[in-house]
Amino acid sequence: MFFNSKKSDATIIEGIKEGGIQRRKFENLLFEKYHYLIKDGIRKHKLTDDECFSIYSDTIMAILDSIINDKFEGRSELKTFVYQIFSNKCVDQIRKNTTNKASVHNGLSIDDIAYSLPEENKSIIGQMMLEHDIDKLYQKLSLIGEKCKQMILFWGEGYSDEEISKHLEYNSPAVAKTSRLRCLDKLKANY
Amino acid sequence: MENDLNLIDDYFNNLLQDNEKQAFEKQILTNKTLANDVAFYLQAKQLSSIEKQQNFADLHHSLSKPAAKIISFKNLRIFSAAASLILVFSMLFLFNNDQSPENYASKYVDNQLITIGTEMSDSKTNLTKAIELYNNKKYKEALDLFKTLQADSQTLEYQGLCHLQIKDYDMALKFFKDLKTDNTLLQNKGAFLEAITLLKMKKESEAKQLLKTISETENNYFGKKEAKEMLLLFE
Repeated sequence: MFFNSKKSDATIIEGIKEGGIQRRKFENLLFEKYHYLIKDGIRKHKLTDDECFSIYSDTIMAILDSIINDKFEGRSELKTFVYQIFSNKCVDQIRKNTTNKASVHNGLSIDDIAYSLPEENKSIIGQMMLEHDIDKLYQKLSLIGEKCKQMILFWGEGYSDEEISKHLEYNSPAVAKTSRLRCLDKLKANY
Repeated sequence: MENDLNLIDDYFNNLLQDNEKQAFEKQILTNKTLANDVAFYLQAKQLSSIEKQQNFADLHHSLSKPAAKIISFKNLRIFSAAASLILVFSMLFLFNNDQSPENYASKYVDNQLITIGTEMSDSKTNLTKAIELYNNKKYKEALDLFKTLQADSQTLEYQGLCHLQIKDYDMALKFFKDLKTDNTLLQNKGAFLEAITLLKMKKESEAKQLLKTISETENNYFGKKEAKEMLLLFE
């Protein structure tokens, strides 16, 4: 532990906001920095290791979303912010365990990812998404070439075509968009 | 399909006019193929989250491994003495085996770069044919076939390897240098293969400098562990 020089929160936030291929490194640093919360959750809330990992992983995803989309304004320390979200999710999990109510961390729902669709469309698309095997789709990512894979991952992270063209060195956002749609087409063909 | 994806993409990026939007939403209710493509599009967009979760799971696994036990000062002395002995014997072994960076590089080429992995598949593409030729040590024929393929990081690496195997080091160097500049790769082998080639060319100081960069940099370079091992072999 003596040799584990931890980066400051400001450095981590800056690295995540910077984006590009270096973002992953800073995401991992953030994950590692507050990883001890998993043990805290097990001890304090009597949750299992799997439950605490899942809650912590969701917490970090939520924090990343806040940082990237400028929702984290730095009014509280990052540590406090992480702790609050993690604790709230732990309490939700305890409630879920005792009352069997709706799940707290089963990923994004159709409402989260397709909020612009009318309700009747959502139910059709939601049903189709349930029929598709997303894990199989994830495995197929490795078959479409490194650049295509990187492009789809960047897009999924919310990068605009302009940012993608900059990071992956395309001539223009329009070229990046055409390439992105071709990559999606390639993925679909492999699925 | 690409047209559908374009339309879907424009819809979710709010680029359609109101009437186009309504027509699109109406179409989803009746056109199963379009609805299916929308479901695919939305799931593809979630793949980055799955990748991140997978990465966190791996990280959690490695962070949860039991930490090394704290040892007493007395035990520490015993361990230090044992470690020194192991080091001395290792050095003797290394010298007796004429371990030099050049030898390391030659062994690396002979053992690690002798085959290229390929996925099992019924269909033989030109890429798999070229890899098969490489693995059968038909480097020149493999090279001719690799040249016909789309130039990407993978074919750059493989062409470089062919040149390395036929001892055309200048050309190998050119390909590995090109590969090194591709900053889109999650792990870039270019620099490490360049160092191996430099050692084969007996350009020790250039190779040493590069190996130092690989072992110290925070970039996504392949071969950090090997670079550290090789640096120990320089006098």
